[in-house]
Amino acid sequence: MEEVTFLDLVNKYVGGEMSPSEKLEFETYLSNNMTAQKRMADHIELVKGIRAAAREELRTELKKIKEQMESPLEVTDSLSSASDDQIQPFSLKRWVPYIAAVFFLGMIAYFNLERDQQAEYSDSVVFEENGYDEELAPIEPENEKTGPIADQAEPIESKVAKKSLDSQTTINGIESVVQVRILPKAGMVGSPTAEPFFIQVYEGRNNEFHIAEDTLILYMDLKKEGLLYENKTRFTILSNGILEVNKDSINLRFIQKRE
Amino acid sequence: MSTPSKLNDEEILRRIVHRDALAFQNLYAYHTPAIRSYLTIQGVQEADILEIEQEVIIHLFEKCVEGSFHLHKSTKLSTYLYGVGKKAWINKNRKSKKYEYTQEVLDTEDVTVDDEEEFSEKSQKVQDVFPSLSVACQKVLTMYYYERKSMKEISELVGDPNEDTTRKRKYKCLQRIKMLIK
Repeated sequence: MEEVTFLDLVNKYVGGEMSPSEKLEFETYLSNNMTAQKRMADHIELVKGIRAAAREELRTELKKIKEQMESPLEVTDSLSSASDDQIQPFSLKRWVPYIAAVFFLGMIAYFNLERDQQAEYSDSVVFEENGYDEELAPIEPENEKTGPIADQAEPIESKVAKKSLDSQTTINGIESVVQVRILPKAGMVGSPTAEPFFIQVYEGRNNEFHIAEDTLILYMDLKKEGLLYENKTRFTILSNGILEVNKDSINLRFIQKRE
Repeated sequence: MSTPSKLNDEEILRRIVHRDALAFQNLYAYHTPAIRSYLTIQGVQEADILEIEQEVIIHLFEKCVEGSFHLHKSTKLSTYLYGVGKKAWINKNRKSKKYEYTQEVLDTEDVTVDDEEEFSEKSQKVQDVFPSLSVACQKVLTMYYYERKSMKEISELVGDPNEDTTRKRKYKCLQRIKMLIK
């Protein structure tokens, strides 16, 4: 029996997913085949090891979440006018140097910028590497659906940028603007029915906008893209920097903070 | 400590199978504090409490992805997890014998402790080499064998054109592990 098929059968057998007749047939096959019995025993041990490693990885993830929840909030000068109970619970610790640099070096420029110039600025923040995508690039890249989307990017990007800048939201008293951009390169991660977007979150007061968080990758159903900004969707930034969209009608597949 | 927006029990159970951070945050913020209080009263040290909190959450996650967890209408998730936390502590202490049980613990009914899974040398080797696999391999194997996702789901999540490609990818990853543990 071919190895791939055999392993699938073992997985079904161990997982209790076989029908009684399939189970009987497989057990008969095993009872007459010592080699197959050994292969199955080996595979079960291998799976145990994988599960243990995956569990360990989850432990690390939980530890990180717990630590993030307990980390003290740092507030920058530009946000200090907000009262303590208005301060949102996500940590700005990592972004303090960046925000400070933007504040001191670009304050005057920001006052003079038009809103659409803000959109242009964000365009310059393009990520040069995409290790995650590369890791998950298909073995056989024959899938046309995950090909370049640069052709579509231009009109969608400009439309979204304009609309999103009009869609100021208030998060715990801090005004925010969310800018959505379509991923400008090929090889994106996601299901063939989902397209990833770059989202950049700005904190703004009195029309001053500056980058408060790094770019996030958002996976969502492209058909629901319009809802994201047309309905002035509210966003919550969680303590770990993950952006959560609080709208049931928008089915977010996956949000990952870019490292 | 920051407090996440509160989710109801059903929402937590729906989200946890996707390893949703908000679900985990909710468990830490609203469901494990009762376990923490109980263990603190029992004199359990902070490091052990953290470990037990993790075990409780991992237990729930694994039950949910296996599809073997169903909360009775009359039971709250926090009540269930409180019981799991007690059992996890007893399980942990059974080996280490670090703490003495109080009469209350000894009187606890319905405490059945699962035996921990025994690992062969081979399983241990697999666990050791797993982090050296490519991220893609780790993800595919984790999703399939730990998160119990279907090949179709995995195929979509990793952007493979079809299930066959993902199946071949998984097979290659398994072969890679076998090579590494030789």
